[in-house]
Amino acid sequence: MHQPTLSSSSNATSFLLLRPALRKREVATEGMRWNMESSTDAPMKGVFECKLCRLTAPYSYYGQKPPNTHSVVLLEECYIIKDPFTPTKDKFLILGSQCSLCKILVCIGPECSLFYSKRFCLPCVNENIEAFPWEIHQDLDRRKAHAKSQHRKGTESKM
Amino acid sequence: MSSTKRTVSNKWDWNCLETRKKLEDAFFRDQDYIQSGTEESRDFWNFFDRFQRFQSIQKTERREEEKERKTGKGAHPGLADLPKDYDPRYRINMSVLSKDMEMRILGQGQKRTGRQKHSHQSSGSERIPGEKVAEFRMAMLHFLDFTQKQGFAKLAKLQRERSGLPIAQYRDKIVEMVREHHVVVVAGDTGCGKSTQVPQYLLAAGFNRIACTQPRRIACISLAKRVGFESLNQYGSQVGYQIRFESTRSPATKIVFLTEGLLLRQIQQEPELPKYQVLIVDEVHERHLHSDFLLGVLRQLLSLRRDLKVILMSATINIKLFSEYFHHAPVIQVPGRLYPIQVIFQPIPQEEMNSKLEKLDVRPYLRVMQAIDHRYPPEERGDLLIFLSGVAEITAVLEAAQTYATHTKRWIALPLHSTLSVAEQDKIFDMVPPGVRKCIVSTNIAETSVTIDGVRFVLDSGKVKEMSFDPKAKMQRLQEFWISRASAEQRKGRAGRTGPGVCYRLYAESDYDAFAPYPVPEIQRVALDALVLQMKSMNLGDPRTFPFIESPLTSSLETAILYLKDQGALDSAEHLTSIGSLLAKLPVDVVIGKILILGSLFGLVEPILTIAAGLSVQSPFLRRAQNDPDCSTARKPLESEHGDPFTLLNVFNEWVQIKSSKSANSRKWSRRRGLEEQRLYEMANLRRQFKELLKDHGLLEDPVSGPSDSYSRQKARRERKQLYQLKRQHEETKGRKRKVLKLQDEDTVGSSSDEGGAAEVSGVGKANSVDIQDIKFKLRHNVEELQASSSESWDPSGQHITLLKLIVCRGLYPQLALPDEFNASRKDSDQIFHTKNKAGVVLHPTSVFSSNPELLQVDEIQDDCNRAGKDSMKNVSSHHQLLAFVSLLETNKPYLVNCVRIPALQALLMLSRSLDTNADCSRIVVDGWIEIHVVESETALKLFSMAVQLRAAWEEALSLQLAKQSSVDKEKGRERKKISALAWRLLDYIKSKAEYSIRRLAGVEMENLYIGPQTVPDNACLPGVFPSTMMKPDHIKGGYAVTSFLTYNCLTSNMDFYSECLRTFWTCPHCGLYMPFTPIERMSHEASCKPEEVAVDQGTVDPAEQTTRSASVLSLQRPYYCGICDKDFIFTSTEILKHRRQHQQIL
Ligand SMILES: [Zn+2]
Ligand SMILES: [Zn+2]
Repeated sequence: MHQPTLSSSSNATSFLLLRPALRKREVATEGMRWNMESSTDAPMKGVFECKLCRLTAPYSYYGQKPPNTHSVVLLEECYIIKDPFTPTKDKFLILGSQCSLCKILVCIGPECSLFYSKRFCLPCVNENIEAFPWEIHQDLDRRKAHAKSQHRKGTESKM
Repeated sequence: MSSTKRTVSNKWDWNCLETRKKLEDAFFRDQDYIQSGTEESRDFWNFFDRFQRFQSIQKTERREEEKERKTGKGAHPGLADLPKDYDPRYRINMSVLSKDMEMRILGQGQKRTGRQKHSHQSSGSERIPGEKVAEFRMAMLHFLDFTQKQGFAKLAKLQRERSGLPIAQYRDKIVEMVREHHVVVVAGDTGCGKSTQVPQYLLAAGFNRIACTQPRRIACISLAKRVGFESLNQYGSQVGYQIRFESTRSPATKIVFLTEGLLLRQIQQEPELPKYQVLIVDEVHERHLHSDFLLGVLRQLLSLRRDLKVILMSATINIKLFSEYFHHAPVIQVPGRLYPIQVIFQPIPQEEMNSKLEKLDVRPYLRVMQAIDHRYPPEERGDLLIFLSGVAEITAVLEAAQTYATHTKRWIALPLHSTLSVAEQDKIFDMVPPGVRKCIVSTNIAETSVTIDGVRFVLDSGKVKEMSFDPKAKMQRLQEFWISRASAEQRKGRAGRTGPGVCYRLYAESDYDAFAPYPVPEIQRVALDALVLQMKSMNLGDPRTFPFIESPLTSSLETAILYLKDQGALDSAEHLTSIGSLLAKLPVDVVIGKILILGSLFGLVEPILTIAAGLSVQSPFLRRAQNDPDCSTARKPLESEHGDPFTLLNVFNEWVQIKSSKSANSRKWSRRRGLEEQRLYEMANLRRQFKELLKDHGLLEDPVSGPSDSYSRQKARRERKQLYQLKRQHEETKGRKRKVLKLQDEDTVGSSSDEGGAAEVSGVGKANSVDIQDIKFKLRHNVEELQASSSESWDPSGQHITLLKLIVCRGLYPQLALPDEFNASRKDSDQIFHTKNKAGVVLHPTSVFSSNPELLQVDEIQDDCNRAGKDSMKNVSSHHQLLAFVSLLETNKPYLVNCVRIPALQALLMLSRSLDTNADCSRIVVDGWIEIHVVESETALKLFSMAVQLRAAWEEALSLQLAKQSSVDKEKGRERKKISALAWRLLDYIKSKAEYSIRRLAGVEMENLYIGPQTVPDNACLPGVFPSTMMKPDHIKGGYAVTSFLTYNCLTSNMDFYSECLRTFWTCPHCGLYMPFTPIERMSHEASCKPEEVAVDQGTVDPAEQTTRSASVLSLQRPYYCGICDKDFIFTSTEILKHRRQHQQIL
């Protein structure tokens, strides 16, 4: 039986180590000065951007062990912000991570990626669809249907 | 083993509270992600129940549809280690580490079972089997995953919405333009998203320290909230706001929303505004006074700060004007999101036109509601927004609409105007039940400032009521106007925000064509005193030549400058005086500022703060309570016979007493008296701000707060902590969901709108059982301190009140009104008054003197037959009174608002800038419009003499206070003594008796008042008799200028011509000198023979002071050469007089 395990870099080192690709991003977004000198808020490390849907949001932590959440560990290295929708300090919100196959950054949105013991961007899933169990196929179909209706609803409500 | 498992799961009950508690204790500890007892733990159990149900369904489904998965051929190596058998667990990218807790639960369970053997009391359910714990953990994981997805969905939705806004397509262009230019104009109609997005775009593009001004405080708060939320900083401090009493700004703040007035104040303090890199001026098209002025200031600032970026944001109105003003700044025009709107012109038929005084005819409005009911099925949603000119009109239409609504059950009618409380205003955003429409009856506040979604129908009356300023009468006038075409289009546009709409216009198309293209900018219709004062304090030069975007009227500017000179804020060269520069720093009316400064002098700060605050907020008295006998009765004890500002003082003090008592409910108390409590909160905030301002400017010493004992300190700390907790609770529970409004008849409230509103609001309060205003108040203010200071101003002897009245009147001068001579013969309701510039004004119905006219009654002296023949001696009394008023407001009549009564002659002599007398000072003309005849010339002389001395002393004390010269403690003590002596003398003076008549001069009389410059060069006989001033012949009025405010013997009169030389014997009450004096000699003697001070200081003066005193006496002496004796002397003024008199007697 396959047990999802923590990847080996799940400890303190991953707090600080950023991948080279990420460094570049940091340079690119340095001009944005997202909250760099803020004292009361969690310091921002840079801006996360999903390569598929272009969702952007500043992130304050990258890794598997979000700060101040003793009991929760992540099974992949994620871009994380403090949950902006609750006043509680210790709540976090996962923005996205790297696709385990093509290594692009994707958000966790259902239209961009899925997690099945690892992160996969939807293009990679579709490309290798036979490798995934039936439940995933079913889930993808559901997502497509949902996305369609969601889009229709979205444009309607704007009108 | 498997059999025991089954029995356990059969008996197993997840709903058992004890089990849940046990699991919570184990997994929801303080250090865990979810904590026991929180909202989230409740959410979890709800989720848990659903999860359990879902899982049982899943299991059955899977059994039916189990399929075999093929492993992909040539698949990516990264796919090789995918789990073979699907399990939902693999879909979750989180894990919960709580092995230790599991061990403990399991261990505990085992121990318990062990114990069970001994005592058979505990039930078997206490044990939580391992598989159940695993089930719980799995549910918890799914819950965490669910909350993550939910949170992310919210974030994604937010971004989708943002990128769907019309302005989003212009993001790059805006950023690029701002990078390249100093000034950029962004024009877009409401709903395009400019106010929320532009600051964020700029921040994300690397700009920092962004200020965004708003004309309204409420907009600052709501925008900061919205932008904070959108930029994922809802609970951070990156986005903040700053308004008069509140600030959420911190060093980490990058975007701050603030009012235009506040930014101007900041420029006043730091002219180059180093705080900011980007300034966004929003809603410039509204053309508020502050925003127009701000544009002018920024235009100049741009030449000083080449790194500053200015963005003007406007509706698509008159954009050229703004662009050209900033040297053809580039314009980015963003189309709004507007649907087609059908316009129906429906002019009001002649017979339904209301004349000026009648109540508004509501029939045209009801017809539109009926038309909507006929034409559109109720399931087609869409609300109606009615634009009316004012509150009275709103009340009339609302009443009719509510009656109609009770009939049809298809409407809920709600008012919207700025005098409503925030809670009442907020109701327009609540939802309606299906099949029901909202009918929002609003002033032009809904034109641009409040955006209401879901409006499909607009009903435009085409009218607006605006305050305009009449510079000639110095009077505010609330007048109804036709709106401009720009406003009409704005109003129409409100119907097309969410779908195609309809706009009914209650005027003809030809009317529309005749409308002005744009509204008149505020700068061209309001009083400019405050503006000119601020300009002076910002060193902006001559206001007449300041390059405004559109110039104000020259007459308004001149009036303002004259007024500031009158008030002593500007000197004759139009430079700021010391009092002027202080007034410029106080964010209040000049008049109120003066009252504050004057009050601080006499140590009457507490009541003065309250009065000043009371006069700076909207009246707390609700209009509807006027006709409610219960309210009037309850209010009665609060009314002050001295005048309306003192009623405000009583109200506030009483309210503070209620606030500080534990059991009383201030909200109830206020409601019973027909008071809008919100205004009292505002007063509390204002007076605190005033106090800080006075402290900042050294006008108020920081009282060393007594070291309270540790017990009470602890108690106070505990109370604050509780209050904070309540506030937090309130914030967490409120505003989660919009309430659904109820149909009118389901409420048991009457038809009156205000009542409905009040009852509703209080109902809400009861529901949460928390009065959040009360909590905020108690957090912000030291209630005990307030209570102490409010009871301190309780003054049984009436001494304080008298002094306070004098201070208030001095602040309000020259806003004085004289009762008409014939008021006694008029009905109570017909009492009329005259101001200098406006005859025939009346009391505002809310005034205490309106309901108690007897307070102003003059009991005439009837018995004297000597005077009966003389025309000028009519209406003689010693009880004449004047009214000082805060404002003159014309609606359908000119009204005096907020009046104080004060003895006429005494006040005028003390306050007036121009006093002209005849030779024996029995006839006095005040400020060129009031004539006074004093029966006894002796009395007049005495009063004049006292007034001249007191005014000098008061002035001196004030300038000392302003110059902050008294830094030495010892001197401070002496000054305080001097000031208290002054206070007592002022009180004596005000109480002094005099019989006189008083009247307003007719126009012709005013023209022939003065004898004019005299050719007789008789100045030799009148040398500098006053210690500080020389008596000079007045070259305009004639006679002699005694002081800056007193001109002696300049009035035309045939009988007085020689009386200036007439001497009568008189004994000086101080030095005992007995001698014949002319009136003017007598006054000057008294002025220089200052004995009171000596009397006050005697016994308490220390030697050091004694020497300074003798030094100052010496300094009053000066060389004098007498031509008759041909000798040089060192004389004081009095001695000179004495000496000269000797010669005269000899002659
Ligand atoms: Zn994405
Ligand atoms: Zn991929």
